[in-house]
Amino acid sequence: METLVVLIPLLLLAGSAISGILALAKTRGHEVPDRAISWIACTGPVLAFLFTVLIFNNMGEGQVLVAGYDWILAGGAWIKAGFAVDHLTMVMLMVVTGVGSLIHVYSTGYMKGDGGYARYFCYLNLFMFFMLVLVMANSLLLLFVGWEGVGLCSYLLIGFWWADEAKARAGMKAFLVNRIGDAGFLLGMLAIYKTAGTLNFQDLRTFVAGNPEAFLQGSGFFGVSLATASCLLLFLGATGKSAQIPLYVWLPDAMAGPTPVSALIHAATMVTAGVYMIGRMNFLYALSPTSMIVVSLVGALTAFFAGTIAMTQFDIKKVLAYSTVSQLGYMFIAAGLGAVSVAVFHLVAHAFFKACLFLGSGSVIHAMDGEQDMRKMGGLQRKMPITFITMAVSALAMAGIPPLAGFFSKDEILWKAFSSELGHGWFLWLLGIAAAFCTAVYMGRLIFMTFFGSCRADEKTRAHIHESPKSMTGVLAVLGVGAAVIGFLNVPHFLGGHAAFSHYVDSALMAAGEEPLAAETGSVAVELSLALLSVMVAFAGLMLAWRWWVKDPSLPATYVDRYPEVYELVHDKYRVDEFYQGAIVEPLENVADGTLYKAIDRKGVDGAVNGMARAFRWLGARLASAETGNVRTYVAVMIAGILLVMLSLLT
Amino acid sequence: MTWEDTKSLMPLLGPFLAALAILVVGGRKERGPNPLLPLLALAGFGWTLVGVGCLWPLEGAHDAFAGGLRLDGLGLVVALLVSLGGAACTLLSVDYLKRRGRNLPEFYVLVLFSALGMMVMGMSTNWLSLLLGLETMSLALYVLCGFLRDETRSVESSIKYFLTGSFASGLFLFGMGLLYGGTGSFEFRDLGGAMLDAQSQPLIVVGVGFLLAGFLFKIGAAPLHMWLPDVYEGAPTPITGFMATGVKVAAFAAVIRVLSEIYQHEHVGLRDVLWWIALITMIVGNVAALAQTSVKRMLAYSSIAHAGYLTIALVVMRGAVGENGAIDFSGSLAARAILYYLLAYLVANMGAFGVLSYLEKQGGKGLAYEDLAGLGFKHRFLGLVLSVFALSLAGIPGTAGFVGKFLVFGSAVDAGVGTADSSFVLLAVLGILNSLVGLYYYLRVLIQLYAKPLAEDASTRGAPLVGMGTGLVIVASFIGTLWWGFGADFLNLGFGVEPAMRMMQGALATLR
Amino acid sequence: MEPSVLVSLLIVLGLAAAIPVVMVILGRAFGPKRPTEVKYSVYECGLEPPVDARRRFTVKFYEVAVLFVVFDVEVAFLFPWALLFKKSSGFLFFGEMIVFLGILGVGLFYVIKRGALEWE
Repeated sequence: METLVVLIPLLLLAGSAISGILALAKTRGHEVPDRAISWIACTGPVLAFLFTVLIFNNMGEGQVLVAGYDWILAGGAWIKAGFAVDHLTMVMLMVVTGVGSLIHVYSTGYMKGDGGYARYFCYLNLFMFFMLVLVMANSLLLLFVGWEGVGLCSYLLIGFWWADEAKARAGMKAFLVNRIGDAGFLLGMLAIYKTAGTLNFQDLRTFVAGNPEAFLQGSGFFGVSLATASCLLLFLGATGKSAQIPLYVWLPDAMAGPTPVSALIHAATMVTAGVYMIGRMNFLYALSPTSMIVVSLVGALTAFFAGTIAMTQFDIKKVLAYSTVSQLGYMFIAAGLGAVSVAVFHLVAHAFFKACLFLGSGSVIHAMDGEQDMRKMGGLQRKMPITFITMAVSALAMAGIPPLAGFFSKDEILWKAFSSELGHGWFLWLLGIAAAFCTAVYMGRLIFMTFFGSCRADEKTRAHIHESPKSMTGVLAVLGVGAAVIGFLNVPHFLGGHAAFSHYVDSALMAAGEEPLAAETGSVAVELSLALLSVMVAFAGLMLAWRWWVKDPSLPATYVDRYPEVYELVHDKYRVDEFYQGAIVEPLENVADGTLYKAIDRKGVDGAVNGMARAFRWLGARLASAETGNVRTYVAVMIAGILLVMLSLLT
Repeated sequence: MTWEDTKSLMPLLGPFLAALAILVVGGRKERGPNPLLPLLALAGFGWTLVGVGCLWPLEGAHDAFAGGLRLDGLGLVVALLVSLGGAACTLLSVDYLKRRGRNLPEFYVLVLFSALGMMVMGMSTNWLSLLLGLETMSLALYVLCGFLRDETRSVESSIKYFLTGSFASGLFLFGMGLLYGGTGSFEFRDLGGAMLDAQSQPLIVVGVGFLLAGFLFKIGAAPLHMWLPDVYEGAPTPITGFMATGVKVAAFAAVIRVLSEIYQHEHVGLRDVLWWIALITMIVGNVAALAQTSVKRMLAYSSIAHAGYLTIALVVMRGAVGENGAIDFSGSLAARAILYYLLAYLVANMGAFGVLSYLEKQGGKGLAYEDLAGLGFKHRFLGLVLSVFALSLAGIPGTAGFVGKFLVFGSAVDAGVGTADSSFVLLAVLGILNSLVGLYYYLRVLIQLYAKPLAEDASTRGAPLVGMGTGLVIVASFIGTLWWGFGADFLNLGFGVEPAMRMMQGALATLR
Repeated sequence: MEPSVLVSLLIVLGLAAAIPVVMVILGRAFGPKRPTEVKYSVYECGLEPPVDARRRFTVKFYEVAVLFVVFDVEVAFLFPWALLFKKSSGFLFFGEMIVFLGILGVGLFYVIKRGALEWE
């Protein structure tokens, strides 16, 4: 079993290496058939999925599989690099390898004929390797390695079509924004290490259970406790990776990459890493109510704002990108309430319907010859029936129509928010239900604009429209079915289910006899009526979308005309990008390029020193006969520096 | 001096004898490349490596030259790192000099002597042997910088280095003199106690200040960094790589020895000064590197920034005094961080300069960012390894550079959290922010490699095939960068993160 | 450190800097300036230099000079060694000097082989 655990990521690494070598061979002019690359690239993920299933079947209740070796000697103790697989990891493994395999298969169709076919699969396999490292890591440090690795691969894949300047730039943006979060993550990790002396999850949990007071002492930073400080720092990392306020700006731009990449990395797996991490560190967050409030509030706000933005976008992938941001917000609401299993359940459900939507949109874009603007689509349902049906099912699932997956997962989150004992629960619920309305509207809008009405494409494109090859539609079908039925894994008690999924995940996170963090208050009747309410909201949203974009397509324009400022603001994504550009990026560039370098290192220091040098020269009159140029400056700076050192040493 | 002493000199003998042998074999009037000479130089470095391998693990320490040199764990690590760097430099130079038509025996002799000086510096226990090592190293490097004597920039580099460097040596000597006046001794070990003596304190403090200035000059810390970019840019590229790494190794090892004595008698003022120097150095290095257009010059400024990160660890370093006055820093995360960081920096930097030395054209051209445009697709392997080196220098997890940075920043946090004094943690935070800034210019390399179309004239560029020496260095650095970042010692070869960590820890156990 | 020490140190520093400055300023301010052609000519008791003093000499002069200095200074180490020889432990002491001279010998060998001592 332990061997299997180690084998899973190694399979992907090997796949990546072989694809890389093939890519190299190809540029050297060797003939490498695409078919061979497809087989090699898909073998890794599929085998990994089979192994995962094998492990899943053989894993005992509450068993944790561990494999590892000594890595870094920090302080007096070794940090082990190793894998630990428990139920939470198991779920993530299922998602990553399962959805990953499907997307690999889909990619063989989607990327057919691309010049960088082998390179693409090299990156994609490498991405899965790092993602597996991330979810299987037994310590925060190794998790961070995976965390950075997936970021790097996502950067490579966003900028995959490197010839396009804008796309390369998008990759850059993703990487830089993420590094801001990562700085927080690193600091949080160091603080935890200092306090507990370990970064191993199992040891950390034991430590926190044994002496929580160590984490409750002040951090010496605005009077917050160490637990709060480290949790918030880790969360900063999560907002970067999982695209939450304030660091979500990179995700929409990241849509520049190939669509399967958007589906795998920017919807199903990588962006959920933040949720996974908070779930993993649940025991620490439990010590800090403040940080939990922050997490859930940020999640709720993101869910709402991203939802409103999604309603105004016309690029089909941008809509999906903002909807991803919004859905991730839901997961953070649950994670912040301590309901990890609920968050993870939404994560799984989301992986299915959002992957399906992305791959479906890929299929549409493929058919439309690269067109992504929904205003130029329409009436595609006849021409692409499978794409239409699977996407429609997924959209309904996401909107929260029972009995599809999204209904169960989202309703559970709203219920947790409403029933939580925390004072701000009602506020979270309100934002959540508002976001749910937005979800229904923009999902309806997407489906209606794309598949209904008359086709708005030009003649040439219209002739090109066709259903995608089997490798693509087959995957869509599998994901669509998943989006439809996966909700039954976690039918809540009030509907007569057993919440099997939640029990499975919770058993990994709770010590024996421990109760889930988010204690529930409220009765079955309230729960039922709330569920009905959210279903009604979802239907209302869909109805509105139907009215606006199918029945009377001129209606939205009238509303836009009536409130132009509001529309513009939302359509421009609240101008956050512009704000960041103006307030942070440009000043930084100016400071780096203009002020600091030119003024201080060249003008300031050189100027002052030249002045001093001139003074020396004037004093020394004709003593200096050899013109040594700048060296004099250097020595003068040295002297000034030494004087400074002396002065500070003497005082 | 006894026979016992000579045994401990074994690691030093390699480069020394090799240098003499090259002088004998290569000293002839008709000038021309002789393939035997680089092999001799490599044999010299190989001797040292074998010597280190035989002596490790070292029980206690061996003294030589009446205690002037001390062969202990730290000395062995210095010998190991320097000879790795020297061997890499030699291998790179063969191809590099061949292309420049300057493949002369003296080059290898000087590389060997400078390496010898570095090792002596890292093993010295008194000011005299320290100065001896420092000068042996520096004089050889002055000449090496100007070895491409037909190129103005190379000569300029040499002259600048010589002028500023001899000034720094003067400071160093002056500091030594003051210290001798204050303590009546040349030994490091008499320094700490003497600092407590009120009467001689002014002399000693001023002396330590001058010495510090000398060290700071050698590692290129602000405000004594001004010479560095010009010198690094003009010097032959393999030498730049060797200077950036070897000199740092030697100087930091010597600083660890000196500070381990001073810190025995907590001298707060020194930590404060170093605190500011670390900060200023990081900022100057990173900010100036942002504005560079040449990759080689960027790496020069980034070398200043790395000196700043390393200085952070110097600020927070703490050790224990064991029985009978032995100084044990094996428990000090910071000291270990310095050694590991140096290892990581060595491999990534030699690799990066190796790639640059291959790309460089006559007159130091071909090293602007634009010249890298699209190369990631033309030279797949070079692009890949250069990216990995850049990422390691930037400190991305999975590479050796990350482990180094993690240890350095971790040691600062470790020293600061839980104490009333927040300055250490603040320094760690500032360091992390700085490394974020640093990421920007390292990423520009990657962007050029992969996100820009191949330059127009690239097809006509017709660079020669990577020579065997260069290739070997690049591949070895590549493996080292990844393996020392993440590698497990599965096969028990003593190669990987864990054995290196153990070595660094053991190296610091017997500083006195 | 005592503040008083520091103050006196600063005073000395200040004086050291001020004196030349004041001297030069005083000289500039009060010194009479009556330049004539004669005053600007080369100093009277010297000879007119036939060529520029900063012309280039052949490098061989420097080579010989440097080599002389190197070997001459190194040999000076023999004196203290000779004085201590009687009190020494004998063979090892002798051996050390042999090694030292051997190194010098290699240097000399290199110099000769390299042709640094040949004038033409």
